[in-house]
Parts: sequence; C-alpha cells; structure tokens
Amino acid sequence: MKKLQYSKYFVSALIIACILVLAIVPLLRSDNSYSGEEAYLHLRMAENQEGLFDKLSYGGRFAPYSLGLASVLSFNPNIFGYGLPLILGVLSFLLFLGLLKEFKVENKLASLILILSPGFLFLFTTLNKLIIPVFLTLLGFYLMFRKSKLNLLTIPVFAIIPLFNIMVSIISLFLVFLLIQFKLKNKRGLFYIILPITIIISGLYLGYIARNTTFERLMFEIGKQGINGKLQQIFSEMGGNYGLSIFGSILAIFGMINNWKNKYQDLFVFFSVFSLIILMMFRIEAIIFLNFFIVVFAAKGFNAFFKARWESKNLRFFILLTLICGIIFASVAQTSKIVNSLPNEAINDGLEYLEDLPFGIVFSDHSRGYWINYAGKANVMDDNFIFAPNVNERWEDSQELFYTRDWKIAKKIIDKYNIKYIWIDKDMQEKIWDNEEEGLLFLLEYSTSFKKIYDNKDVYIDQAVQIWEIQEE
Amino acid sequence: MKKDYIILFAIFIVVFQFRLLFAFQTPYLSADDAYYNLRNVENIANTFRPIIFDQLSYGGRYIIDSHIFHYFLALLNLIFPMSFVFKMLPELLFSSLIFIVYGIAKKITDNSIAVLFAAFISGFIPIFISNSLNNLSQYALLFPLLFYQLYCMLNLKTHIGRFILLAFLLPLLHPFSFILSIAMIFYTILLNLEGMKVIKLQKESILFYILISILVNLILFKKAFFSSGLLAVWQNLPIDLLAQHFTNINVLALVYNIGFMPLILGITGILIGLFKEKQKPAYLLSAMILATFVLLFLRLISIQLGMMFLGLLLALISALSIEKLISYLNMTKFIKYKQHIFFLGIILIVLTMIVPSYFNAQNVIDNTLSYQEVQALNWIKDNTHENSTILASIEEGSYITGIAKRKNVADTNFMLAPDRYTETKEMLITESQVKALQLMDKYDVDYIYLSQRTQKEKEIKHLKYINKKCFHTVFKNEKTTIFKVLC
Repeated sequence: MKKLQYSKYFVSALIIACILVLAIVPLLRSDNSYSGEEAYLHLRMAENQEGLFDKLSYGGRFAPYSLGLASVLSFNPNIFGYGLPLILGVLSFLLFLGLLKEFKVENKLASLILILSPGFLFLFTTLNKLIIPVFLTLLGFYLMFRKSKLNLLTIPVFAIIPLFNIMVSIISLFLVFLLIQFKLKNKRGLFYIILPITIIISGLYLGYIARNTTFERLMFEIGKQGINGKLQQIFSEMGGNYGLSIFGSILAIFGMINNWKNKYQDLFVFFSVFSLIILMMFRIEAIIFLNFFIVVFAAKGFNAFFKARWESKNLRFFILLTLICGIIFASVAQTSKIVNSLPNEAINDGLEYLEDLPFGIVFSDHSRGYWINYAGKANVMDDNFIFAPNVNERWEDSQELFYTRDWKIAKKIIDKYNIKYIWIDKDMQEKIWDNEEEGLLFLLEYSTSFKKIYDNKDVYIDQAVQIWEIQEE
Repeated sequence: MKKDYIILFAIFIVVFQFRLLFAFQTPYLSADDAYYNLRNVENIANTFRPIIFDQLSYGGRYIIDSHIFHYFLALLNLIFPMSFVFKMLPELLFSSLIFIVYGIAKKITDNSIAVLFAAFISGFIPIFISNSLNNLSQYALLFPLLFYQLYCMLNLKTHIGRFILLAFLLPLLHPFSFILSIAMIFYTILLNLEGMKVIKLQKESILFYILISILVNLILFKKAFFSSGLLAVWQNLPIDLLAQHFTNINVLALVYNIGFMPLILGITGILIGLFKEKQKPAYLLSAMILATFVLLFLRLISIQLGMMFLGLLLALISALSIEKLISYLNMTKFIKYKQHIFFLGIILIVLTMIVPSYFNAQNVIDNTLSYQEVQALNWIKDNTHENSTILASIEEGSYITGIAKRKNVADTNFMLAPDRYTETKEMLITESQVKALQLMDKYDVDYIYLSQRTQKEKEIKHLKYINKKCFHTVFKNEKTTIFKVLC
C-alpha cells in the first residue's frame, strides 16, 4: 500500500517536472520570441485569411503546407503559439505513461529519461509541424488499447493525421500494423477500417495539392549531406534538433542486449525498433518515434546496470554517475541551443522595422524567408522548397546575386523578381560571404543604387541587421 | 631488485641529461605551439584565467581547450623558476616515461635485463626525440599519464583509485587520450577472439573509461560537435595539410625514425605475446598498436604523433623478445659469448638509436627559433601598432601571437578557426600582386613577416610581388625581412 502511494507521488512529481521543463525552456529566451524559423510560418498561416494561397512566400504561391497546425492556431495564435506545445507535450507525456502501463513496462525511470531526452524537449518547446501528429499518434495508440467503444475513436484520430503530416501518418500506420499483427490481434478489424480511410484522406489531400501546383525536383542540396550529415540529424549532441541523446542511446543498447533473450516475447517492439532504426536514416520523423522506444530501453539498461553485481563499487558509482551526467548534459545542451537559437533581439528589432515599411519583395537567404513573411513582406525564397514555383531558377538567381559584383547582373535579377529590399544579418553574412566586400556586399557598399535604411550595429555590435532599399533609377 | 632500480635510475639520468644537453643549447623553444602554450600560461599567471577568446589568433577567435596543462604549468611557475618549468620540466616528464615503461615491461616479463633494455631503448626513439625535445607541449604530461593509465589497467586490483582519477584527467588533458578507449575495445575483441576472458574488474574499468572519455569530449568540444558533427574529431584540419602529413612516408624513414631495434624486437615481441605466450599485457599493447594504426589510417593523428606512440609501444613490448632471446641463448653454446653478445647489443643500440637520436636532436636545435628571428619578432612588438595584423606562414602564426604579441592571419590551432590555410599560403607564394593585395585587404594585413624558414619550406627565394610602391622593407636581418603593406 505504502509502495503504491509512493509510486503515485512519484508519477505526480514526474508530471509536474514535465510541465515545468516544457514551460520554462521557451521562457528562457531573452526576448520572448519563438525559437527557429518554422514557428513564424505557422503563426502567419494561422492569421492568413486567404486559405490555400500564400501571397508572400516566393512572391505568391499555392500553399501546400500542412495546414492542420495553422487551423488549430487560428483560434488564438498568441495564446496557442506558446500554449499548444506545452499542452500537447504534457498530454503526450501522460499518454506515454498510459502506454507504458499497457505494455507492462516499469514507467518511472523511462518517463524521467523521456522528459530529459533532447528530441522530446525540442518537439514540445518549439512551435513545429510535428507536435499535433505525434500527439495524435500517441493518442491513437492509447485508444487502440481501450476495451470499451472508445477505441472506435482511433479511426478519426488516425484519419486526420495526414492533414498535419503525411510522413508521420505513414509511420504511425505502419506501427499500427505491427501492433495488430503482434500484440492486439483482436483489433485487426479496426486497422482495416483505419487504413482505407487514411489512404483516401491522404489521397484527396495530396491530389488537391498536386492539382494546384507543379513539382520540380530540387537541383541543389540544403543542409549537411553524407554520413556525417545523417549523424548530425540522428544525435542531438551533434546538432540534430529532434535527435537522440548519445548516452540515452548507449544505455538503450545495453538495455536491448540485456533483454535480447526476451525479443520474441514482444515482436511489436522488436520490429518497430528495427524498422525505425532503418527509417531514421531517411526521415527525421522516425527519430521522434524511435525516441519513445529508446527511453524505455535506456531505463531498462540503467536498471540492469544498477542491479548488476559489480566487482568495484567505486566503478559502479562512477559509471552510473557518468551515464546520468551524459543524459543531463544532452538536455542542457539542447535547452541552451533552443534558448540561444535565432531570431535574436537584433533580428526581431529589424523585423519590427521591416514590418513598418511599405509592401515589397525582400531578398535574403532562404532561411530568413519565414521571418520576412511574418513581417508582412514577400520573399524571393524560403525553406518551403517543395512545390515552390521555379524553385531551381530562383536558387540559381539567388546564388548569382549573392556573389556577383557586376551591377548589370544584379540589376537584371532585382528587376526579374521585383526586389525592393535586401535583408542582411550578421549570422547570414558569416554563412554566405567570406569577407565584407564580397559579391553583393561590395555592390551594397559602393553602388548608389542601394540605400541603407536600417542598421542596428550600434546597439547589437556582433549581431547587426542591415536593411537596404533599392533606389529607383 | 635494488640493483635494477639503481640501473633504471642511471638510465633515467642518461636520458634526461641527453635531453637537457640539447634543450639548453638554445634559450628558445622549438615548436610553434610551444608559444601558444607559453602565452596561455602567462595569461593564467597574470589573470588567473585562461584565454577563452583569443584576440590575436586569426585576428580574434574562440579557443577550445581545457587548459589543464596551462594551469599545471602556471601553478608550478609560482614555485619554480621559469627555466625549470618551461625548459626542464617537459624534459623531465618525457624522460620519466622510462619508469613507466619499466613498470609495464615488468608485467610482461620478470627478466631484469630484458626490462631494463626495453626501458633504455624507449628513451632513445629518434622520432620521439625530434618531436618532444625542447618542446613545451601538452604531450609532455599526456604521454606519461597515458602510459601510467596503461600500467594502472594492468594492475587494477591495486591501482583502481588512480585509474579512476586518470580516467577523469586524461580526456580533459587532450583528445588524443581517446586512443585508450579504442585500444580497450580492440583489447576486448582480441581476447574474445582468442577465447580468453576479460576479468570483470577490467570490463568495468574499460566501460568507465570509454563512457567518461565520450562525456568529457562531448562537453569540451560541444560547439565543434554542434557545428561540424563527427568531422569535429578531425579538429578542422585543412585537407591539404592532412594530405601533407602522409606524403613522403617510406620504409627506410620509418626504420630510421622508430629505430631498428624496437621495430624488429617489438614486432617479434607482439608475435610471441599473441601467438605463443598468449599474455594479456601483450594483447593490451597490441590493441594499442592497432588503435594507433586506426587513428593513422583515418588521419586523425599526424604521422609524427602516431610514430612517436608506436615507437614507445614497440620498445615496451620488445622486452618480451629480449627475454626469449636471452633464454634461447642460455640453451645454446652461444652462452659462452654472453658478454660479446651483450656488447653487440649495446653497439647496435648506439648505432641505430642513439646516433639517429643525436642527429635528430641536433636537427631540432638547429631548426629552433633563432636569435635573428626573435629580434625581428621583438621589432614587431616594439614598433607596430598593437592592433596590427601580421602575415606569416601558418606554422609561424604562434610566434606572432606569442612573441610579437600581434594578430596573425592564421596559425596551427585549427579547431573552430576559419579556413585560411590555402589563402595564407597563397599570399606567400603567389606571383600576382593583385591577388596578394586582394587577400591582404581581406585579412587586413599590415605587415609581412618573411623568415628564411618560410622561404625554405615554401621553396621561395623571395616574395615575387614585392615592389616599392606597395611594400616597404621596415626591418631586415640575416634570417628575416619585415615588409609594411602600403597599398
């Protein structure tokens, strides 16, 4: 009885810890702005009154984004922008606890590791397109285990996931398939209803997008490629936003080795982990789902270490301490990354100034596209490359404009896209140019056709933002 | 036993004297990174804080370093005179390896002659001499500690506390200590392949060392891992330089640099240890050698560092083959010539190890910063504006920051530094004045420091683009010229 009560208190403490962690991390940002770029797209789309047409992105385009999140945010973007990740994070955490109970897994340590896992931290402390579909998947799984008619709710839950993210929908359907195949064999009927409905909804949604847009294969590469690039995506300590913690993974490997003899007892877990490990090489969404399995195995690994018979008590203490420090380090490093991520105060001030300027198209690096749009101005390019109009041509022109010192070439591109402003910030400058007089920077400095209308280098020495206006000839 | 210790101490004195004899032939230090270390120690001594943002290197950049070595030196500098800390101490630390080699070799064999022989040759590995002599390097502390950790690993029951302490300290000191983690993994694999058991305490120690190494390196190099991922382990070394490290390697040079004796006796020792004796210490040393090869193959360490390490390991394991040689001789009629064979061995050591070590040591001293170079660097310090940027070859970058106390364009501390290797080289070898001026403008170069060393290394007689309109010779002596950039 006492043990049960203690367990209850511990779970309550875990829930409070989860709320605190998810609530505090975004508040640590000095200027209360949203972390990263993606949040600004969702917030803008939540306020967009023009349905599936985005007049600001790429100078105007059909908006084939996952509009589910924007629709939810549209009820109150200001409150939901901060509240939704927190609420869904806590609910997901509760669902995870529930699922652990269904799988008869010791849940306390696994839940604690989940709260500290960098992938979970990033997922539910930033406003991103994956928060709702991941929550819905967990909800769907939880409902599948219900014995009452509640499990019928699984159908609409899985059916709407494609509206939020097609890839998550595919992965979750695959996991449901494994679940009914190996664990809930009596729920096969449910799966045969979910599958066609989800396929129809996905088909309709994708068909509608395909009808309104043209698809262009990208001829350029964004981000880090190769094995190192993949590793950077997979592990948070190497820079992956949704990545796994290295020490969590090490513990999980020990957990798996320790449980290897029981592998046939839970084929769902065995096949899910195996498939997700392969899938994560191709899609980051798989890493998020894998993280839920990893934390469980990490907890098992930790318990195995804890209960094992050690030759040296000192080594036992230091090994366990190192593992704990490793897990904590991953979450602290992730927190610091979220807190210090762009946009910084200099960029926010620049965006405020940009917002007050008359409407026009702004040229900048594609990674600044969402911010520019959020300030009410159109961009030449942003990170939403898929289904974007003439995306390859725009990329080539952008590169040419960045690196040309020839005014005639620059003028041609400026006229082609009707560019009115140019946005340059310190971070972008370091990313694109090697020195202060390279390419476009040289033209901006010495040509009379550009006028610097904003520069906050006096306030923010190391982070300055410049906005240039193109002068009519 | 007591006699052994006396002989061992005598060997130590010989090695230490040999090193000091050369080290004190010059008042300066031999490698450019010695001046990086010196500057850090000076900074700690003056402010009690390490250099985190280096205003001078690359014109201003963040430094990733645990600074343990610098604090260690700064602390000693409070008690001992500078000449001891910066000149004698590194030689003392490198020479102290003899005691550790003796200790480890004692685990391989009980034969005193073999063990002392191994200790002696470990003190005269030519490549080790040329890369460690008169050099204020982190390796001076790292090598003895790394080998002591190996010793602790072989004596875990009595040295577990020291093993744990060093497991914390070594990764903090230098990332090269990760070699021990790789070696431990190979050790486990090798023993498993042979069907031998790794004792539980060793398993636990291996696991602990690997985990703590990963954690400390992740914490220390967090920024580098975030930005470069796994590529951070290459420490941002320019590709050209990496390639340069591995060119001009030939077998003769290897034999000369590692030494004929440790090479032959070491390889024989490995074969005996692995296939005949099946000794665990031999497996551990073989695993270390394998780990060194892996790091060399992946170009994670320079060929010099790899050969230094390899030389020491081979010298160590040669104790086994010497022991076998002695016991074999005892069974044959050659035992009558014991004295002669012993002297033959000594002659071989002198010819293949001490003589090359002597020439290498002389070479190090000859190539050490000269009085004229220091005079030129001091001229820069006294006669230029403190915000001036000086162009020098990348290998001399730390002389600019360490002695002239001015900003350099680039130096050999590449971690988190911008890639300027090719352009720095270009500024010194190009024939085009336009190109040179463009790059000098890019890096705000005010002066060019051109030494005979750079001329020899870059195979240039003079800077071809120099003319009176854009460059003014402001200082000149036999070994250096300093130009002021006017355009």
